[in-house]
Amino acid sequence: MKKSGLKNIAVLLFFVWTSVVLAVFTPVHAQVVINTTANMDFGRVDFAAAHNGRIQLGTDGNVQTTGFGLSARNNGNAAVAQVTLPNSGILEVKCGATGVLVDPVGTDLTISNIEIAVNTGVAFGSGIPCDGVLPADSVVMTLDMDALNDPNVLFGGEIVVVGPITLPSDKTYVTSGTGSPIQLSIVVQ
Amino acid sequence: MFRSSKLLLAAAVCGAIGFGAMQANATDVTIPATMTASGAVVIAGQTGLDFASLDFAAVHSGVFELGPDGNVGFSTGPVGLTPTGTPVAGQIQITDTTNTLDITCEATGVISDGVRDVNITEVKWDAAAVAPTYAAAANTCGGLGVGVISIDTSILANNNPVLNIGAQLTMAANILNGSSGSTAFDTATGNGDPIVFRIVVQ
Repeated sequence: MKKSGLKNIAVLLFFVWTSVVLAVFTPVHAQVVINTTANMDFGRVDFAAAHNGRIQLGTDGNVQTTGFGLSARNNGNAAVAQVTLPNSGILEVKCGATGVLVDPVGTDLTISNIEIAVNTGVAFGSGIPCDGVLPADSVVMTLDMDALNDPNVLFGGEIVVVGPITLPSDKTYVTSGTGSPIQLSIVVQ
Repeated sequence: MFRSSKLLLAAAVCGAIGFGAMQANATDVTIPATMTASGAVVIAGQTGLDFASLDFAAVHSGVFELGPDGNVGFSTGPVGLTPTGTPVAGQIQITDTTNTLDITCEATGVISDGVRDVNITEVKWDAAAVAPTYAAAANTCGGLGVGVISIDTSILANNNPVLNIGAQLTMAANILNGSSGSTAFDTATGNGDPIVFRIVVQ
């Protein structure tokens, strides 16, 4: 027992040491929990036979149009993603700059110039522009979770209508199916 | 002892892997978006009410009515008043086949020649395919936002509705005296006040 027992104790101590080293030097990041509490909705927009322009949704939920032949009938909803965890630390936020709305028979509509705000919405154009969620894309904002209590990240954006869409039947465009939703990516610093 | 060494080794490796698994990556979520597109409601055309002409005697009064069908008559009187010419009912042509429209309108107006004012004391409209007389018109204007009449244009019979409009002129006693006849009374002159229709898409 003496010789092999000592050997086992040595092996055990080695792995315990290894585990401790890994425990000390492996970055341990807190869990991030994000709940989408509201989807982005541009509301109902009337299209005249001739139309060209932009439909803009602010992070405050207000919809406005530019150009001609487009009329926002009501306000929409800014998307809301609430970050409930962690309760401390700094989070880096990236978000997709584009999305795609589709209708089975309609023309695809690209959502561009997506922008965000925290907790308080602002008119379109006054938010923080998203840059994308790829590694090379920029962190556009940080969230200080020590200072913020479950912050809401609000999303707005605009649709540039570059050509006529099929009318007059009502069409509800969505980002599901062949569409492309808006992306949010959060990393613990 | 050999077996216990393997167990120790496995335990230590599991421990190491367990610590390593705490490495966090980006937390990603996708956020859906929607938009509803509709064909715009178009006012394809509109025609103003034209009561045509009234010949008047020195003593005159009456309540003069122009029906949505374009015919004129008197509900009170007439005294010293004779309609002439070709009256025309008002009309609003709407191009829409998908929405429910809420319609309200001002109940009164004024036509003026710049000196004398004649009050429009009642306004009626009807969207029937065959425009009715003034008395038979279905809807009486109660003011903007008051007494909403809704038309569901998605119903085939209601596609592209046409609102035919009539109104009532209350001719106060001898109100027209002094009028040369060469100056028309209208809602854009003097104290004139047009009739406003409000069409709201639900």
